[in-house]
Amino acid sequence: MNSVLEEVTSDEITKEHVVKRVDDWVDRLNGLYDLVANWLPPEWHADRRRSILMDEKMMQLVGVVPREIPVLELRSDDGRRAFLEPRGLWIIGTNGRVDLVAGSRHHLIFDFAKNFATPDWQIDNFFDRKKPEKLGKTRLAAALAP
Amino acid sequence: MKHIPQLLGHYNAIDRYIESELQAEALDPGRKMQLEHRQEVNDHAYFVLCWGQLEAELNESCREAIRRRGNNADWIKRRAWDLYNPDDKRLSGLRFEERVSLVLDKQDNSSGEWDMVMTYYAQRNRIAHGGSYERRIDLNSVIGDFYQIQSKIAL
Repeated sequence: MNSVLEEVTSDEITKEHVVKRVDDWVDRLNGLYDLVANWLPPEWHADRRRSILMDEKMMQLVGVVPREIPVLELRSDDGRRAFLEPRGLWIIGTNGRVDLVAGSRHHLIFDFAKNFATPDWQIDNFFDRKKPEKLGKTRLAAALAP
Repeated sequence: MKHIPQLLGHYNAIDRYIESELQAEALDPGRKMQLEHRQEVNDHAYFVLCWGQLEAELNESCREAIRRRGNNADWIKRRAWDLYNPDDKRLSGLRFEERVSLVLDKQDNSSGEWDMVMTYYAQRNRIAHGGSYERRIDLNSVIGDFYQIQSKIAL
């Protein structure tokens, strides 16, 4: 199955498939956090000690136990805070969403790649949804700007 | 699909409103779950409304294709199209897949539009027939797919 849409409309989802997808999601999240940590402006610092519980409907349907997944917390030298928090893997139209919240600013980071393909991270402004743009150093700095 | 921008505007306004409550400090778990469920219901409700816009576009394109082809003076080219009445409310009883096959090439699925429209139709049916709402739909991304499908409609 190439997409979330195909998965959620299928009657043939197995526990093995869901476990594999969750493992892949954790790998992609760690890969995203590595990228973000490398792209951060010099005054920002990353910390991924915090986690949240992932327990999506798809996991419950096939009996996959909830799993702790990492959150990326960001702090700047001048006391600003931001975080990247996974919001869901099985979101129709995407292959997973991570929210970037920095003060009153809120961006959505999506993976638009096919299932199990190399991630295609793109970012959009939650308060002004337009066509998402490729996530990179410049776009990240703009999302974190005061 | 002329109402889609308006529908998307309404959808985003509601989603933002619910999200602003979700981002509030010290939210208790019960309230958080309630707000997340509201977002899911909002996603599914507006998905069905937007799907209706795409389906109407496919139906109207189907009628137009039947009219155009049915007006061909050459009977050899016209004869199969004469089977359908474009003015029939139910389009001569054609099933959804049959209607779509008159305006999208089922055998040319290189960009995936055929599979896409059929899978979205399955999702629409799941919602309309009482299926689970317990997942999110990124409607802004889905609408991009709807426009991609629309761009491939051939009369």
